[in-house]
Amino acid sequence: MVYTIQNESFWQAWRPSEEDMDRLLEIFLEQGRPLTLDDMARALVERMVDELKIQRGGEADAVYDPTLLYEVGTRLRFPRLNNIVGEVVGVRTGDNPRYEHFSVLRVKFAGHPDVREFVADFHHLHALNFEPHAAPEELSAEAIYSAYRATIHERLEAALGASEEFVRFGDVWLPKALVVDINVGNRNIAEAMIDVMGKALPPEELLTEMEISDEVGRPILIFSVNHALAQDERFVNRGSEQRPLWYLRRLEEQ
Amino acid sequence: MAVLTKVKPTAETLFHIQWDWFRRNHVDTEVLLREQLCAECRQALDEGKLMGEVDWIDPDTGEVFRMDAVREAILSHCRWKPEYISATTPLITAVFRTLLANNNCPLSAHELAQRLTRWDPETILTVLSRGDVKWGITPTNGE
Ligand SMILES: [Zn+2]
Repeated sequence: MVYTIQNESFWQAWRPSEEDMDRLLEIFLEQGRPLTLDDMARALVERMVDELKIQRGGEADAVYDPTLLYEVGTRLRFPRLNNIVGEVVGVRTGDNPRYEHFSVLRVKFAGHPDVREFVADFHHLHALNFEPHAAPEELSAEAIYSAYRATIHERLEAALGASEEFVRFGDVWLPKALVVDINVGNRNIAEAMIDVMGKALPPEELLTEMEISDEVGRPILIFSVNHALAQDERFVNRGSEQRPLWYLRRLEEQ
Repeated sequence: MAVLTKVKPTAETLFHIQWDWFRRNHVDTEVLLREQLCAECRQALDEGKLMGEVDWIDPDTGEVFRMDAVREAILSHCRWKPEYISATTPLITAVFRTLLANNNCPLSAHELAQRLTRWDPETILTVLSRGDVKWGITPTNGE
């Protein structure tokens, strides 16, 4: 038994939901910088996995193995029961003459009033349809991400492209809500700087003369300048998308 | 007001044993269950060894359920005997015993046919849905 998000079919059918886009916003707010598709996809899967672990009852001390006996207080994960996590609250002697001595764990699951029981210290493996020693794959964001990276990228990029809430410059993205407005006054400053220097300038240098508060952090400011100048017809990028160098279209035409 | 319609069952419709049906039809389920025991377990029963409740261990999960000893014997022992469902077991008995062995977790005609290779899903469906309810076997939505 594995988690749904460990299955290929889950990712094949996956289209980022409103909830996923909200998760992305939270990720941007936490990281406070523009992110690549890879950054976003990785952080999104990590968040989905963390949420699932909490939903399933938190972290477990061990994976349930019916051949072992556990102490009261042990938190067990049940791979055959959708990976739910429960706590051993009691142990009693097993009651079935068909099997020699075995024990029964009393297990409490969060949010469920009833205590459920599971066989323990049980060595009649022919009576079980599963291999108790085969530890199931742990739920790992890294493993999921590396297995379905291409699909996740493709779907995420399509959703971001279709969303009005995210903007892109080169290979990095930022939610519109975090983009700093580089107003026409500041864009005029940039134009004048390039004019005076007579050469293409990087956004870091243009920022030195602009009147903008630095409180959102340099990466967001640099992204905002690049994004604003890319939208302004007066400017042309003579560098690359990774290392932009802004120049003036009218100087190029001379 | 909701209109109740009797949906025609298909090969994917899930069937289970509705134990209440036996009570309504004055059939003693204890006697019926004993009839499903293998020779060995019937002898154990006669010797007073299948008494009261015991732990039944769900082979798929390791979960333990308290269950009367006769039913537990069917689930843990008799169902694995070749004569539990043999080449001469009638269809209805075979379906009943398959559901019993499945701890009455519902199965469709399609799934039953996979386990009872002697009949195809259509035959099973026809027998289960034609005429009166047999052996309490009803669609799960039919309650
Ligand atoms: Zn038996």
